[in-house]
Amino acid sequence: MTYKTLTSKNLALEKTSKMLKDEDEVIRTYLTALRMKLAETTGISNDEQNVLYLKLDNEVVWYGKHQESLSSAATLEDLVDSAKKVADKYQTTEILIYQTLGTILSGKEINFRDQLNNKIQQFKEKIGEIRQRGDKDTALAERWLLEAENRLTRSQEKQFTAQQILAKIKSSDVNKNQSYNKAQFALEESHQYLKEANSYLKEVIREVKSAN
Amino acid sequence: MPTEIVDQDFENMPVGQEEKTTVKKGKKPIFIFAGIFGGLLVLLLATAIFLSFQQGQPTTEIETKPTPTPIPEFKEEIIPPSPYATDAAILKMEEEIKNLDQQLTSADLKESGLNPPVLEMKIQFEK
Repeated sequence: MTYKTLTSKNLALEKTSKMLKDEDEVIRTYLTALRMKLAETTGISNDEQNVLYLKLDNEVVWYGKHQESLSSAATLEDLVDSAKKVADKYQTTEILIYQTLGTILSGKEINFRDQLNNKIQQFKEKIGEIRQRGDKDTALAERWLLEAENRLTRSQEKQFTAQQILAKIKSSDVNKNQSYNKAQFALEESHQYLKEANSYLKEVIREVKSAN
Repeated sequence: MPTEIVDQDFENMPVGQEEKTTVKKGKKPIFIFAGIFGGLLVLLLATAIFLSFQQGQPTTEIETKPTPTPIPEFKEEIIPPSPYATDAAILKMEEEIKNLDQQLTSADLKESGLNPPVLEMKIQFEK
């Protein structure tokens, strides 16, 4: 403290309290936004969604209580202790944040994969009909379908890798965002396989539409 | 040896020839100059007449409104087509695959708008 006076001490107390309150508010708002994004994302199972809702809500409540407790802090030492509590708590909150973000991205991938899987089943039925009629060779189209299915499996594997990375994040990890970036990269690879699967379905269409 | 003295009448020597040559030499550049001047005059006159005709004609204003460049839509034509080229179910599937392709391309796989907040949580006071 610069002047070591009671006034400067009170001023520091006031400013620090406000800063910590704002910090709590930022985290609470962010967690609420994350919850809303989770709610609007399709492809996530209800169970997984509910578990994350519960965890996020608990975090929001914790930061709310902490924010209230700051009003009763009488000394700067109280505020320093309070800030330390938030810093420790945020270590676990960060894990939840990255896991929720990963779940949102995975949900998108699952949604796309489900759609592609449905399309593959539709194509299989249609190609089965064509094969039975016998007016068109379906061997090549069936091979493309097989390749598309293969890409879906690979996409799922990459998504599993991403989930494993996110599950391994510990509160003691200094750079949690690095693990998240790795997981995100794995999800991008997963997405690439989905794109390939879709391009193979285009080949199926092309093959079915052209004469032997 | 007696030297023969030839009588030369210097006074009666014809001087006209010399004058003629000087006149010829002096007139040539004048003719060239006059030719060039005349040519330029004719050229100027022709330009003036041409311009007067141009001004007399009604000018048509060209609109500088930009027009879109027509982009030919690529439509793959399969030759020769199979009996299923016009099948309603196949065409529907084709449309759905196209839509899915657009969704896959435009998917946001970063959610950069949801990056965690950067917070400085360490508080320390010097005593």
